[in-house]
Formats: sequence, structure tokens, C-alpha cells
Amino acid sequence: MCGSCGCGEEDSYLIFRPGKSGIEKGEKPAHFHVRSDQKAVKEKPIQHQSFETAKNREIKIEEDILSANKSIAEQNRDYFKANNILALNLVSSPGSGKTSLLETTIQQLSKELSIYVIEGDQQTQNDAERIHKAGAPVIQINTGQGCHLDASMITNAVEQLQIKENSILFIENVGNLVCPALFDLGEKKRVIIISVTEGEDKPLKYPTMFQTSDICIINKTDLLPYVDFEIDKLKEYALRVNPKLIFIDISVKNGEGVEKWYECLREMDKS
Amino acid sequence: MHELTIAYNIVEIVSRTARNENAKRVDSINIEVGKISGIEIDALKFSLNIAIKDSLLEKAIINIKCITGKARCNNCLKVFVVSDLFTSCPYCSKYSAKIIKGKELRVSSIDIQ
Repeated sequence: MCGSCGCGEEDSYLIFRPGKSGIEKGEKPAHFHVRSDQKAVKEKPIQHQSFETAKNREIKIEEDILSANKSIAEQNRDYFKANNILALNLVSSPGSGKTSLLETTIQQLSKELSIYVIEGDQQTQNDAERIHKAGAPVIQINTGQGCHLDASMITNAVEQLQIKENSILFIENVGNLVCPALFDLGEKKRVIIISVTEGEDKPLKYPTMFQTSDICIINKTDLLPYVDFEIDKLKEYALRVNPKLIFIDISVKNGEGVEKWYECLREMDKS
Repeated sequence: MHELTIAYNIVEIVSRTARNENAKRVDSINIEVGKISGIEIDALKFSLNIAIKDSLLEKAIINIKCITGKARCNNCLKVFVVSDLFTSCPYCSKYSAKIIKGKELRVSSIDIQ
């Protein structure tokens, strides 16, 4: 453990050289501190290995690797706030019913709420066509090989969509319970959708997504009699990961529970 | 594979800093990755090998500091080590805890010439 700050005791280090497959274990790692005057200090006591050579200069960076995305996301958030746009980031695995839920929502609420949609998929315009038919302005983003939407994609799509003030913007993320979790898009709330055919242990298998979400919609409840899915178990697991998560049980197919979702939307739109 | 995006972000941050410092090359990069940050270290290493090609970082040694997760229980306020996001408090068994360490994803420093 470092004598100056006590840090690093349980943390481990990995060192690798690009192109080489082996990993060196850095048990006595180089280790840095910042003085109150912000000048970098590189400690070189006996136990600290140093990578410094005579010509080398060490430059402190301390920059969040996701900072570029976060900064664009904040700009998006400011824009949404200034124009009173409620932006919701819809995340789920593929096939949980995000697009069907949006179609129903647009058909039912487009008279009272102004709704816009950004669709994210690796390929095809299929979802955008469905949303367009349902009656909402929509932009499709195809990420190609990409597994998630990022904040700059949203900035571009928002420019093209020309969203009116006092609207709701649904951002349907790429169907994937892993990658989109780390990328803030500037949304006000993140809505995770899970269907009862997926298994109740998803929150434990993909905890980051459940942890970063605000609302959890449990879809396809009409199938509950036919599948081995314990809805209470799912909620228990999800609350372990995120004690603040709010649940809405719905069946887009038969309309059960969707009114609660609409109420939730109206509430968020007002606030 | 969001790790590839992360790897390109690292290259971008390091290249920008190195250019500003008029560096000829980058000898080493020090990165901090929390163990519960949602990043798979092996995937990140794989991605970095791709991302550093033809950049100032091409020959750099990459040091990854893996930061152990810690949480503070919202019930009894004790701090404990976590390796996932759903560990119950070992002191009071409650599931409500705030992560206080282990979500880092940061370029801490570089050595340049």
C-alpha cells in the first residue's frame, strides 16, 4: 500500500504491450499523486516501479474516457430543457417490444401529445417505417457495426427532426442490454423494457443497464400463463441492482396496463 | 463491443495531449478502469490493439489499473468491497447500497518523449 495516501491496496494492475499477447502483472505499479497546487508528483519510493527515463516527461491527464460523449450529452440535455422536450432513452434486448410499444403510444396519444422518435438499429429502416405509419415524425439511425447510439448521433438526428417545443422525444436505442448502458444521450429518463419471455434473472446478468435506468416496463404480460417467468422475482432482482426503479407491467398486445404507462408519460411531460 | 469506442476515445485523448506537448512519441499510458465500470478488460485490450495503429501511441506500454469496487450501505452506512452491482451488505444484509468506487474510466497520465 502507498504510504502517502493508502490507496491501491486491493487494486490490481495489468500491463501489456500492443501486439504481444502476454500480460505482465504490475504488482508494484507506478503511482501518481496530485498536490494541492495541481502539479503532478511522481512518487519514486523503493516499492514503486518507475517507467520514467531521462528524456521522458510525464503528463497528467486525469480525463474521463467518456468525457467527450458526456459533454455532448449535456449539450443535448440543455437543448431539450430549453425547448421543454421530454427525451426518453428506450433500452432493451432485441424483440422485447420497444417499437410495438411506441406504435401503440403514438396511436393513442398523438392527439394530446406531440411525439417524435429517433430509431437506432444496426441495419434497415424497418422500425422507422413502422413509426412513420403510426403517425409520428421519425429519423432512423443505422449504426452499421456499432452496438449503441451515442450523444453526437442524437445531436445530428435532432437537427434533422426539427422538434417543436413542448414535445416528447422517444429515442429507441439499439436492442442490446450491454453497450448502450454506458452512453448518456442527454435523456431525462432511461426506460428499460423487458418481456416475460426473457427470463427473470436478466437484472443480475445485465446489471449496469438496470442500474442506470429509471423506469422498467415489463411487457408481454399476456404470455405469463404460458412461460416460466416469476414477475416478482424479476422485480426483486432488479431492485437489488437499483432500489429506485419504478415498474410498469403491460401487455402491448391486449392493452393491459398501458394506461399506467400513459399516465407516467403525462406526469413526466408535466414536470 | 463498446470497448472499441472506449479504446478510440483513449487514443483521441492521448493523441490530443501528446500533440499539444509536441511529443515525438508516447512511451506509456496509464489508464484506470473500475472493476464494475461495465468494461471488459480483455475486450478493451483487444480493442486498444486495433485503435492504436498508426497513432502516436503505437509503441506505448499500456498500464491498466483495475480499481476494486466499493459501496456504502444506505441502511447501516458501512463500506464494503463489491465485485458486482447486486451484492447485499455483509453487515446488515440489505440490498440498497451506493457505489463509491469501481466505476472509474479514466486516462490518468502519459509518459512522452
